[in-house]
Amino acid sequence: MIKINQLMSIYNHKTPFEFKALHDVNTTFEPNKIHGIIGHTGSGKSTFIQHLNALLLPSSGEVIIGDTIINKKTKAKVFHKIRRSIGMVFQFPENQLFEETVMKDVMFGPLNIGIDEETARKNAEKYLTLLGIDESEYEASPFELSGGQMRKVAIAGILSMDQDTIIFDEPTAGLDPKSHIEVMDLIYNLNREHGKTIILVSHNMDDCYQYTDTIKIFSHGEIVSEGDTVDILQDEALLTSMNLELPKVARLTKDLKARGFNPNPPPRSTDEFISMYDMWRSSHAE
Amino acid sequence: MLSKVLIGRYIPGDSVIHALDPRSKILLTVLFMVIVFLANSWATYITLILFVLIVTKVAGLSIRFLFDGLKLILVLFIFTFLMHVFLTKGGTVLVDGGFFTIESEGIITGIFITLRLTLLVVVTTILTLTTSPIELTHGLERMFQPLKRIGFPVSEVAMMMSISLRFIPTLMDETEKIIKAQSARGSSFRMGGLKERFQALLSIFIPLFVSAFKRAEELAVAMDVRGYNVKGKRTSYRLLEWKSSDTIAIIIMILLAALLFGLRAIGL
Ligand SMILES: Nc1ncnc2c1ncn2[C@@H]1O[C@H](COP(=O)(O)OP(=O)(O)O)[C@@H](O)[C@H]1O
Ligand SMILES: [Mg+2]
Repeated sequence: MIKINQLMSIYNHKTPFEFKALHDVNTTFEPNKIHGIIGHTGSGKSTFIQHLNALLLPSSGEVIIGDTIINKKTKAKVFHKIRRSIGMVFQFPENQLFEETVMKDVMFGPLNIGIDEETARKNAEKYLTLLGIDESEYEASPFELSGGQMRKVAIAGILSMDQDTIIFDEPTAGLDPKSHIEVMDLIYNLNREHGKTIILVSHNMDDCYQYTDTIKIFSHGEIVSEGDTVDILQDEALLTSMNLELPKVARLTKDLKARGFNPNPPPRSTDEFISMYDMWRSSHAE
Repeated sequence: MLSKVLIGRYIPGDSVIHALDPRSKILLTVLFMVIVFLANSWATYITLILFVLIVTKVAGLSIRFLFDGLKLILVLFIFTFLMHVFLTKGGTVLVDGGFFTIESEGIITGIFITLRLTLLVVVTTILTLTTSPIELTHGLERMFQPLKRIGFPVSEVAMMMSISLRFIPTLMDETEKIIKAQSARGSSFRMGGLKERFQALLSIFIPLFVSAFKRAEELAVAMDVRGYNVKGKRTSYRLLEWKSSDTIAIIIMILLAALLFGLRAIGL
């Protein structure tokens, strides 16, 4: 369980560049779920998630992770412990690749946090396989791979540290459509099959609707709305007031309601929509 | 942390100092640096400190903020101070620790040299804080125009300077991002043996170089497609204009120099 109390965060405190990026954030993340975070650029999403693994410390307030409390006075010693329980995949994680080979790069994280060599290699193989990186590529230089492959190797580099909670900051930004789906499916599987708690920052409403269990909407450094994904992302009035759009599938379902198409639970992905719609049509065919 | 480094940063403003011609600001900074070397006593140093404090106020900068920016080079200051405290001899012996002595001259010289360094760093910081990188390059280009006649590539060097200045903040931001990404992977230069620390450094420098080269390549392509040509004759949108305030500023600086000579002459 992750709990955030009255979190306030100021960049460049006491300088002319001072900027209050988070005002008063209070929320919790339940374990074993996929939590979506949405909001416009600059609303404080990236700033917020960096507080969850002590890359940024609160200016005031606190972040509670299990039995560890992070506040402005937290010391570097504690960071190691936190990074063993929470993984962070930054935006454009391929920028953090640096080793000679794919395998070495993926093993860098686990070795740093004190996992032994053998387990580190096992983890690396497990997650590289999960991400569809072929064994023949383990000894290649990460810089020779395609953009999509580099992204996947970088993600494997975090996952191989095997934390319980993984944060993804816009993991599909700039990816081709195929890699996009692969990465989103992976994230879904990490939760459903490997029991990881996922925190996903995204501004793709369709992905959030299809893959997440809960949603928190950020605006101007605050959480303005949160709850179950189905409740939040079908609330057209709420989304419009935040200048956000309904997910496409929710839009279509809503538009077809007048014609009597009202499945419960509603479809969350294009595939689900098509099959439910087909079923509804054939059962209504004269 | 890195965002606290002030040299190279610019804060837009509408103070008299901001409005000065970049050429006069560069000239004033150089003059002040020369004047700093005239200071040799309490009275002269105090005069210079007062002068800098006034300039800071006039430029609309907070003194506190300026000193926060100095913290990073504090190590250098402390080192300089200690060097003089232990190595400069003369005056009365204050501490006699057997194999070393601390003498009054050492303390005084230490303080003076540290003040001198601080003043030099502070004026340079004030220069960049109040002058946009574009203005700065433009000013330098114009000041060194005469060197063109002896074949010195003034415009090219100016272009290089403006690109470098433009990318300092970008690179700082990039560095901060990479450091964070690697810390999230448990990398740390504070812990572990020599090998781990070296690895931690590599994990930051390699991605940094990769991204810098990528940026350089993109920029080169962008300049090429827009027809940048080193031989091309460039005109500029902003014309530099020497105003009466620039002349007054230079006169004030000369008066400051005269004041220091005066103080030295009467033995203060
Ligand atoms: N390192 C930083 N220094 C100063 N301001 C920052 C920094 N990072 C982000 N900000 C500012 O904080 C605000 C929130 O940014 P961010 O958390 O990146 O938003 P998001 O991820 O929602 O786009 C923005 O206004 C941004 O300009
Ligand atoms: Mg962001």
